[in-house]
Amino acid sequence: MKWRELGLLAVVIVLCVACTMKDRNFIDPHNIDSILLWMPLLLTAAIGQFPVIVIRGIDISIGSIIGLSAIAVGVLLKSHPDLGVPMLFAIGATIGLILGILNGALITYAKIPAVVTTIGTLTLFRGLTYMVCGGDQIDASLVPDRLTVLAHSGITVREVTVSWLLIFALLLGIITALLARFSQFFGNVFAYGSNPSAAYLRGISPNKVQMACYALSGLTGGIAGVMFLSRFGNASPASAGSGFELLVIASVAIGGVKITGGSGSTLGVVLGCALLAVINVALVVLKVPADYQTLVYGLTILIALLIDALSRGVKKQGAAA
Amino acid sequence: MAAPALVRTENLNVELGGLPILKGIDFELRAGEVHAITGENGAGKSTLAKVIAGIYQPASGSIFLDGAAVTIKSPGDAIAKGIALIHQEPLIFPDLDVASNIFVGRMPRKATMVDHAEARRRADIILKQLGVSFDARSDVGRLSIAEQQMVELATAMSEDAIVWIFDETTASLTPKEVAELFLIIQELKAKGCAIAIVTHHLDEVFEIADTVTVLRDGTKVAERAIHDLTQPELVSLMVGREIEQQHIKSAHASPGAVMLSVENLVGPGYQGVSIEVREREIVGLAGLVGAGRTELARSLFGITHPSSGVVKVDGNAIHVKNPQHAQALGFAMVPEDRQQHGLFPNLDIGYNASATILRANSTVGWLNQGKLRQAALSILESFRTVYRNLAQPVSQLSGGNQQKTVIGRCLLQNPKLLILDEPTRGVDVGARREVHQFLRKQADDGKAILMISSDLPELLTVTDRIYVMHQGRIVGQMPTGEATEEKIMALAFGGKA
Repeated sequence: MKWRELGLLAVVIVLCVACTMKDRNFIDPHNIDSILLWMPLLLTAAIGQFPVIVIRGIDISIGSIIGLSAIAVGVLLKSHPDLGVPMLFAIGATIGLILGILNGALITYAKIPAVVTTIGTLTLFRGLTYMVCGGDQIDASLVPDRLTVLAHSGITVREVTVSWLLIFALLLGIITALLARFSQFFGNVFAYGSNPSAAYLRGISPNKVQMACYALSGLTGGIAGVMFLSRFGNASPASAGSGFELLVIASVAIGGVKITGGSGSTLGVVLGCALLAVINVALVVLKVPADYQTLVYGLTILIALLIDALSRGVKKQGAAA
Repeated sequence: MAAPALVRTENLNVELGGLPILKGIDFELRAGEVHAITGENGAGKSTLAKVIAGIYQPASGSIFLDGAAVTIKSPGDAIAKGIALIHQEPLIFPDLDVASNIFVGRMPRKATMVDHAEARRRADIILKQLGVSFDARSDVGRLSIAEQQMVELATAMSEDAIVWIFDETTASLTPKEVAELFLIIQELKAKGCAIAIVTHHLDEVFEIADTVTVLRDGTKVAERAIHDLTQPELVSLMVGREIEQQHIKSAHASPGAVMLSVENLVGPGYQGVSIEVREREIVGLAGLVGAGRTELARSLFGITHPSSGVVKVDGNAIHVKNPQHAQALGFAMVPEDRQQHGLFPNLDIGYNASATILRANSTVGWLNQGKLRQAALSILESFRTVYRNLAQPVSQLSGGNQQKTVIGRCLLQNPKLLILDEPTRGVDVGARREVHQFLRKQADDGKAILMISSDLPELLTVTDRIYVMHQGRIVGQMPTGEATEEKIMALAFGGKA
């Protein structure tokens, strides 16, 4: 664990302690449940966004990928109400993967900058979502209990429930952490992000790295889409996953993944998501008026990035001395 | 010396952006040999290195490796074939540790997992052989340039490279570090590797090389064993481009008052520089790439700042705070890299030609388009710039016309001192002549002109006086009438005139 992660953990803890002192109810099991309920979706999508940011890219379309996956799986449940849970996740993941590959191909082969491409596909995928369901909601009656139960049951310790969804997301996190450390692929991702032209001159294919990262982001978005159905029990084409992209990107940035590429850790991403989740609930517990919540969110993101920028400045001076 | 050729090129032709860079090169690199590739700036030395390392593809011709014809598809392919290119600027990944840098893309694995411990162990063995003071866990972003260079050497060693190409590797090293590098090169040579060094440092050629190939304007002019050659002979092989035109003489018998005087200036990339530029005078600044000429120009224009010394304008000592201040003092600069620093490529010609005088031609922030248009038209006209209309994007113009636009824009400010950095690079012969004549006319009208150029015939054609820089210092000056290419090159290479 590096200073960046320790610092983030400290902020999360300090925030929790402060909130508890202000209002005992903060450590109420029910409240912790709501914090934990908030995390799986965010974490899953952030895990896919992580390598994309490491290679100096961005996937803004992630919110619409979540939406399209949720709605498409819901529509499928209409005609095939008996599909098993693993199958639902596999279908969602496949849809996400295809969308991610489309992003990757546009960025890698058509050479459209990632920001522009994924702003375009953000709208495109949202449009597809309306098409898939004909504008209709996915009603709670369509979403089977075996799926929704994953969000509300799990391993319960002293009245606090860690949902199966969160366990699944954390498992994905652990796998990603292992891959980041022990896979050749992630080695190439970090090298490419650190110095793209040098990576090319060392024989790393820029196309493969980029394609794989965007495909992976799509894949996790697809999984998060099914989680969305599980968590909320229904989905509307207009709102499912809408605006989520900014939270995902923010949590990765807050987690210390350098926007300029080349460095970052999975643990940082997990803690970044945790911080956003805690703040989200804290705002309610501390009775911050709803009108101010978005402002506090924005400030948190800016402060995290400011700390990064300042610490980099210090580091640079140190290296020059 | 009759060892077989490890690398051989036959009738190799390379084009970049449609321009021929290498023409019909036959080159042989033998096992156990240190082969210097040398020539003037722009002769094609680095291009040859990059073709062999798979970075550029030849337009025609063949490359043989160990006698067999090969295509070197990519840098990765070159590495797989045992060819290592050590770059002038070390290729490093600042966010990764040394071991990951060395084994990037091919980390040792146990089962399918990357084995970091093994990577560190192997890296440390190689680093020990190199005798460096850092280890496999060090943070590469914090190493010095020389140490980063050592990381690159370690990388090539770990790849078991048999063909080593050093592309101006010594440029950023201290003499002590160069000596250490040469020891390593000697060891590689003893092991039977084939080594090419691309360099324009003649003393290095004579110190380390067995053979030297001289390039001039993209063709090979000679290949000699080093013991058959003297330094003056080598210089005369390198120079000798034809002078295209007669010296363009000043209309005045003598230049005017001293406009710019620099005394003992020390700053980033140059030291102890003293020069003078007078009104009605064109002063040339010759030297090799990296000699500190551009760095000096950047300081004069306020982009960087000297640490000591005096700059005087019309006799008054001043400190140039920033480019805006430089312009207020009456300086204008035409930068070396037209694309990066000179042009707004997507904007139209009219804007590009008049961008320097926007403020002077606006009323509370509103541009006077008519006046700007007039100014642009007149300056482009006086320069005989060829274009369709002012609304055309400047990127559609030829290199020569782009450069005329940039120079023209600087002249619209009516500067007292014009600093030009490689003003005719990539400009065709006809446009060059026009640029030269135009500059002379500007000087005759009273401007002081300081012109950096690596193009010796150009300096001999257009300047009145030439300073020569070598490793950050002025090593000589002469009136252009007394200068020859040989004299300038000998000084630029660090020899004596």
